[in-house]
Amino acid sequence: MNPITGFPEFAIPIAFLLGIYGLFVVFYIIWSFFNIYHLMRFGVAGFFLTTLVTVYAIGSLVLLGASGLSLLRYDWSTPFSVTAILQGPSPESLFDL
Amino acid sequence: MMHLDKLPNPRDGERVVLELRRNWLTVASIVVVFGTMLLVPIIGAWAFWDLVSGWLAHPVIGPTATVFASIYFLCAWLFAFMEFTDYYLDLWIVTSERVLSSEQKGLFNRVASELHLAAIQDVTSEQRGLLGTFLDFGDVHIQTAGEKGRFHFDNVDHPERVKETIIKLIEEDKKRHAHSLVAEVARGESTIEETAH
Repeated sequence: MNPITGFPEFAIPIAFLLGIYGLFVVFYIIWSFFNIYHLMRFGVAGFFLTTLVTVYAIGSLVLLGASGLSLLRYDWSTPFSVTAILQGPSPESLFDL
Repeated sequence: MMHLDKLPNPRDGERVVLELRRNWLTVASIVVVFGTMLLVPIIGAWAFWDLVSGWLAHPVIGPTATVFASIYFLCAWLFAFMEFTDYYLDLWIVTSERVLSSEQKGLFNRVASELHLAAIQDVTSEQRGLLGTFLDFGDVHIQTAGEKGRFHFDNVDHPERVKETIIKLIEEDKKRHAHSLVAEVARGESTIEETAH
């Protein structure tokens, strides 16, 4: 128990955020699949439809790639301490006031 | 996949006359919303880069912000694509024989129907508001016989012209069918009493 905050001392690695991100990526892929399926199944065949699906796929790959590269540079074993957060920087210091 | 030159259950000599979607303002609104969702955080980060870079370098705030920013941008892209899919799959096709309606209502709800021109009783066009009047878009309502109700073309370009075209096609369809019935009677394939039915 922390004598200042009264909260129990516990810390979890921030890698749990990767779990949230991973779940979202799975949701994103499933939803994108349904969208593309609907377009391919019910859309009017032609150049526009092919372009639309290609642009979406390229945009998705760019976004997933960029976010993946951004996430790679962090140390995900850093503990996420509730106590440290509660004792950590005040809102004033966060906003550099 | 739908092919305009190979419509489902085609009639002899059937040709596509109109292929209608909602007005371009629908696409413009998707682009504006997506652009705003994309640009506001980017401009904000650029304007307060000193502060943001400090956050990104923090061992806990940095990865947390990066994860949520990634989810946010992927959500924006997915949302824009879903909205565009919804727009793109709402399609009304008027042929020389019938009207086909195909509407996507959300991702898992789709309504497809068709109506022969002979079943149409009334066609109404409706333009509302300042934008609709000046940009010449609005709704077209097609009243059918019986309890089938109405077909609605929502926010299509030139609704008055669409109405006139459908009325003209109905007249042509009536004449064509009258000629074919007369020919059938002349050949003895049908009687006057049968044609009256």
